[in-house]
Amino acid sequence: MPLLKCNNLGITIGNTTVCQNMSLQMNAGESWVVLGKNGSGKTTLIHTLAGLRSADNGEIFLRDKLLHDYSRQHISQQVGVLFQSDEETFPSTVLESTLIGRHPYLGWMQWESATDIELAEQALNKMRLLEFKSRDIHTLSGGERRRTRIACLLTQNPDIALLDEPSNHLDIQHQIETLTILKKQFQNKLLFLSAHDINLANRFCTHALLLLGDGKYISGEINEVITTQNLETLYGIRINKINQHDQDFFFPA
Amino acid sequence: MKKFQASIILVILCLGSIALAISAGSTTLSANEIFSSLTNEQGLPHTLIFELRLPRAMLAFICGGMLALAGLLMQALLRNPLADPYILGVSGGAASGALLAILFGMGALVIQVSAFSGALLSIMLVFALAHSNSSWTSNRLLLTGVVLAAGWNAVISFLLTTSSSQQIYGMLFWLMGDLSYNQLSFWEAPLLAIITLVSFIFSRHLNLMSRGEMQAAALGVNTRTVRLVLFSTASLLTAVAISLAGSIGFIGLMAPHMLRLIIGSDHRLLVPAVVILGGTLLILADTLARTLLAPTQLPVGILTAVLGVPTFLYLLYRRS
Repeated sequence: MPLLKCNNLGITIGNTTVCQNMSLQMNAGESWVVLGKNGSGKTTLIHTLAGLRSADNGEIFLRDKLLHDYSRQHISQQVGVLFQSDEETFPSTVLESTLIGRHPYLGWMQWESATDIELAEQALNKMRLLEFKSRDIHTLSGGERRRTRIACLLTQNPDIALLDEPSNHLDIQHQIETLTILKKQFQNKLLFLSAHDINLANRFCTHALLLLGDGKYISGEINEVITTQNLETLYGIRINKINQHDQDFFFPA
Repeated sequence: MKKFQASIILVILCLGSIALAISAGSTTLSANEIFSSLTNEQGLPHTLIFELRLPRAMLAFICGGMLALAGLLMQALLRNPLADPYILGVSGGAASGALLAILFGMGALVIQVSAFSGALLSIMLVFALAHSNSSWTSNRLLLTGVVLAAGWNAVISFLLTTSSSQQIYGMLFWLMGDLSYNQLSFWEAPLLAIITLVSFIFSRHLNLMSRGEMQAAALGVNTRTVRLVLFSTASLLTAVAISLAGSIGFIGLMAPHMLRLIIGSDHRLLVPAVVILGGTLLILADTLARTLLAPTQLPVGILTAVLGVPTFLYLLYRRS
């Protein structure tokens, strides 16, 4: 049974048609990348798949049940989202900002236990942020804040992770490191991320979804979808390809 | 444990402020007189304490606590550090209502009811106007509130210029906040207690809401419910406080920030602490207001500013 499935999904936002009659099946163990031009609706699609906005047509299934039949809390135990930007207004330590990932599992008046704190610290350790745990998040750099948000997602530890441009603000060392960690943590689960870096996606993902901008889409296994021809259709520019160490690399001609 | 120490200090401060409010005044009462008045129901100290000073201190505590809690909720829900209980134009609506009642020579109860109705009218106007596509964005709410407040200000200026000089004195006191003409009845304290409890129950959700509504929803918060419940309770608190004591500034803006600077941003601590701090600040301000230039009573709003501004600036600059 697919972890996440959509049938005839149709999403429009303003004058943009993100997708029409889109049907996808995403299984445990897969990692998907969604590619598209600016404004093609990658973020909107991620929000829709997380149940944060409703689709115009079609259905989304989480396992065997309609997404909308779950409560917000139940969705949040299974689906985690990394947003493109954060809106932290008030001072908050790195540990506090990571610990909110345990919220889906806590009862109304329950406080975080020692185990919850340990989980958050483990996640911070993985993201190499443990030494910053008492720092105010506003004193961190953009990349460090981004990694804190990812540590929060690791603390939440959902079955499905929807990541909106996870490599934003990260240097290439941290891009590779972070995606390796995510890949490992979500090994038998589902990763779904949006990106602009085709080669990074090609290296880490098993499946791809191209949003062509007029409601049409191309989806499937990554080596069938990410081809010079498809990328030229997607971005509207000439694309070249080179092959090194058995890996295809794409770049604008 | 810094947070534990801060809580203890806060409670001691609160009890101290009540003791000060009881002993200070036209007749200063010593500790001995206060204790003996507990058993001896005859005599001046007992009357002073139980009929004048303690009820007034309780009124101050409850208004201060209400304003501070409303401020905390508004700041978290609107994710804006500049938000205060009056940000949605509540005080303008209440003031227009109160001034109208004063203009027509009405008594305290009518002024109170009229202020309360003005506050509610203003809140409903803001939510109706800011409502679009079944969602409120905080900026839209804020802007609507600010614009509406400007409109109310014109109404207030108009009422002030068309009133007689005796009425203007009462109006100015009302506008600056004054605890001398109203008394608590049976329901204000339970109301504050219930709303504090409700806010406390929602406080972990509030922690998430203050990081963005999408983020909160993605982590399992039913944002629509939390927003609805807490916006209504914050508005109700503001309307009640303002109808009891006029528009007292600064408490609702500063008490939450002072606490954040000391104990951090966890609303599970902030919610109970802000009620105590807001109440304490208003008791202190009111005690000063009625003793500094006695027998002249100053509007308490002047004192909240005099006390609040330097304390706040000190905390802010100590940090950076």
